[in-house]
Amino acid sequence: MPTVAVCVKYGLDVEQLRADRETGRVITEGVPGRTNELDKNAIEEAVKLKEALGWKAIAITMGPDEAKKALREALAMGVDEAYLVCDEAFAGLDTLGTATVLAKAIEAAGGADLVICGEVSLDSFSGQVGPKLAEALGWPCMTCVRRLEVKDGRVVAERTFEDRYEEVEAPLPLVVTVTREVNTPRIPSLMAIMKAHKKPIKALKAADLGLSAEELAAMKAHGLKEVVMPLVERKKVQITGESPEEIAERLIKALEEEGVI
Amino acid sequence: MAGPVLVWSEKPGLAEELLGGAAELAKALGAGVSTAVLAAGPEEARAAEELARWADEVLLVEDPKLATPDSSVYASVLAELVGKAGASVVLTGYTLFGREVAARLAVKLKAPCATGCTSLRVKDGHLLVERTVYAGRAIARQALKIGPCVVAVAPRTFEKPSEERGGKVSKVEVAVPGPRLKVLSVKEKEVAGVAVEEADVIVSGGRGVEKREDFAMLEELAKLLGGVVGCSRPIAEDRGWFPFWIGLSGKKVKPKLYIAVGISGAIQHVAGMRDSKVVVAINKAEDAPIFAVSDYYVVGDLYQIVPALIEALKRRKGQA
Repeated sequence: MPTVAVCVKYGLDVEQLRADRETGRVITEGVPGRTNELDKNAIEEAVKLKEALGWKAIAITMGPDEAKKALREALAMGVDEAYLVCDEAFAGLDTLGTATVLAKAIEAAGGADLVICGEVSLDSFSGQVGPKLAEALGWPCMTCVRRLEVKDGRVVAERTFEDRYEEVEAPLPLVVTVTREVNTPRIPSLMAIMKAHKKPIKALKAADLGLSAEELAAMKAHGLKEVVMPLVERKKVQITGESPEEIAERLIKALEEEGVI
Repeated sequence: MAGPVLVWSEKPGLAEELLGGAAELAKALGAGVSTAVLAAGPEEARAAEELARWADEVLLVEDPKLATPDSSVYASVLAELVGKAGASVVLTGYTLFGREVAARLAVKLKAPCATGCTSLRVKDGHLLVERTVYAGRAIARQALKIGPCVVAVAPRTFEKPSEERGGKVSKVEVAVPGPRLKVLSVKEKEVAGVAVEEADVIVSGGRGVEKREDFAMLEELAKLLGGVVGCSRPIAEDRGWFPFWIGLSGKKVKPKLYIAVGISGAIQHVAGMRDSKVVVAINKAEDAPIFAVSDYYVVGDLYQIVPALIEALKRRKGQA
């Protein structure tokens, strides 16, 4: 049976980040996690393929035990199998490391014909893992896909670039990264969520992937110096009035005082 | 001596900007500046002559197979050029395709890679870069080991070069693999008039603007303020009313005045306008998140407030 694998990231809920008032450094401790938004579009696309063509859909995530939450969501949305790639040796891997591990995990899970990822993760925003995964697998890739169709062993997709839309075709196997326009992710029913909690999540360790500690050590992200949050204080003044005309006058006056009009 | 700083972008204008930055980095490294031009035919190859002014050497690869934007093909050609030139730093443009190529190239070179960088400098054998993370809320400072490292640089990070280097164009023969992607059709996005990044005033519309025609109203307000119109991602990508949008994945703007009309204020949108001097928001939802990142806000119907603003401004200009 053809298989579609979707790679999911359980990242930080960036809306809940705070910064140290003195240093401006971002505080990540205690910030809750969250399934990367665009990865839900990726899951939805994989489940649609399963429904339309009878493919097997699997979800894979690399991360700590908590990342299981993303897999539970994927199972509730309809994927058949879920894999948690979790090992202390994976901590602190860079994007090359992540892509290498994911490529091995896809093989260990029985291989795939199509891999779907979100275009970027909202937290690290590098956009590198999808194309690096394609490189690690030796496959072509299509990033920024906003419409996807699979037929007769080929993929036809519409990609969005800065200045154009491109309709592109490629044979399988292939890595695709999707934008939020590709679909509207379904919201699973309570029943589906409860069922997903009973489904097994398969664990993959470094040893299962045939990756040695030395290989992994060479792919650690060691260059990060600091993460700071620029503080922009806004005035947050509400302009009110009896009528739209009065509001307009008051707003214009405020902007004139600011010297911006 | 370190190997040259090698520049490549599929956009000649962006390549020129990168050459401005490459000159600075090369000075700090005591290295040269090279640029790669990957051309599908003679027309694109012409960029090589133009870019040669600002580089010591242009490595030109001309092959019809490069007409297809297949990152595996581009990364493979660039990896060969990096090897031939012995480049210590590779700069690509941070476009969506440039980002994809940079990522694949970095795997081939087993090199560290950072994308979307807005500041680069050399220190102790490393390239110190800054990039936006956490949905535009924070800046990460990272050190990449030089030799080689790959950096996708955001547009407008560097000024165009000022010192001519008068390099020569060398046609390079490399094996160009056959693309596995096939382009079926291309639909150009219309090019906007005034560059939104340059505008002092931006009136930006979001999902609260119900019809495409209603943007005429925003246009009129923008004109009266000497500004231009922008929008949020759903307006451009879902509704297709605009060729671009302002946000994390779109244009980053910092006008003196940003007026968000019917924009809820999703974190991705805010990332694109965070650096504006004064922010005004008009939204009928009392709890719209945009209000928290505004200097002045109006809880009200944009279909009443915007016309009232237009009338008031016209009166001031003695037109009403």
